[in-house]
Amino acid sequence: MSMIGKTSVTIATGAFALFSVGVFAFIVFETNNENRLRDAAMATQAQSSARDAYTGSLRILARDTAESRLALRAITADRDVVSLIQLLEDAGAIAGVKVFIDAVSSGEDEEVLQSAVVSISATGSFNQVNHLLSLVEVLPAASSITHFELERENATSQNWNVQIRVRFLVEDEF
Amino acid sequence: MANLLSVEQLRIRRTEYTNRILTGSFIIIAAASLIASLALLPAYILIRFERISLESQNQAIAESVSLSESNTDRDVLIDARKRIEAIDKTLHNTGAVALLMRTLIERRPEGLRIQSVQFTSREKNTTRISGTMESRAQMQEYIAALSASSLFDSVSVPVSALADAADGIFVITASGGTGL
Repeated sequence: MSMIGKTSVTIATGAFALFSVGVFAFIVFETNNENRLRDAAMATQAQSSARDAYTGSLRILARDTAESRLALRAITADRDVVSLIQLLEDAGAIAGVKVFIDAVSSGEDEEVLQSAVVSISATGSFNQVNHLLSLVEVLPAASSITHFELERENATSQNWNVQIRVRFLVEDEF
Repeated sequence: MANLLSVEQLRIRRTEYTNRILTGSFIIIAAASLIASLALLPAYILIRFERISLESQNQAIAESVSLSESNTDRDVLIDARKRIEAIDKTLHNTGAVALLMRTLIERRPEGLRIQSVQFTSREKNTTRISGTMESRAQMQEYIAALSASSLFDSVSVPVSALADAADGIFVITASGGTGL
């Protein structure tokens, strides 16, 4: 083989070696790239799985508490001013005194609920007004006595006047 | 030792050797590169398939989880918790007024007449009791009896009401305490 032919073989071999190194470099680069993408996909899957577990537990919790939440909502649902007044008047009837509604106003609101303040007054014997106080305190509603004034009508009277301010939790503002 | 080759032959021979060395080196490099590439190829293929599989799984998970649905679940649960807190805050005093009235009546000394009771439930609940008495000792006895109750943190006579005590009128204020 001539010198030129031998040199051509060397050049061809060199080119092939260069190509082989290029292929190797390409595979190394692509492997690294795939590895990086796989790590990212694994991280995403871990996050997705955690989110899936979280949303799954939320769904289960929401499903398991559905009845309890309905019962919870029922405490404050359908409580309009008429029904609240009716409750107070019924308490008065049980205690044996006539309840007068002095005022109805909006109270301080909670985050998810509104409040209404109903002021009532009544007159009766000490036992009657004390009974009324006890009944108003345990009305079948989300309510509490925020203020009351109990006063004997006069020094010799057996009658007592009571003014009670009751705060109710309601769904909607009056 | 004398070189028997001519200069031209020597150059040709050197070129030939150089070519051989270079060709040999290139073959070694090419072979090493090809072997290394072949060794890496399965790893590349495995990683690539794993990556594609993971991405398809992630897509399936993302499609199965409705973000708006989970937000709705979370919102209704937060709403329920806030309702419980609000209702608990409102109802925690339940029974306190009845207990207060019973305490005021049961601990009242003989001869002391209650004319009025005022109760206000705020951050610190306050109760104001007023009435008539036969002697200051009765008021002191009543204050001591109320102070002994776990319902109140403090029981006192307002300074403004001290003068009335001489006329047989007492005023007592009580505040705070467990259950109130």
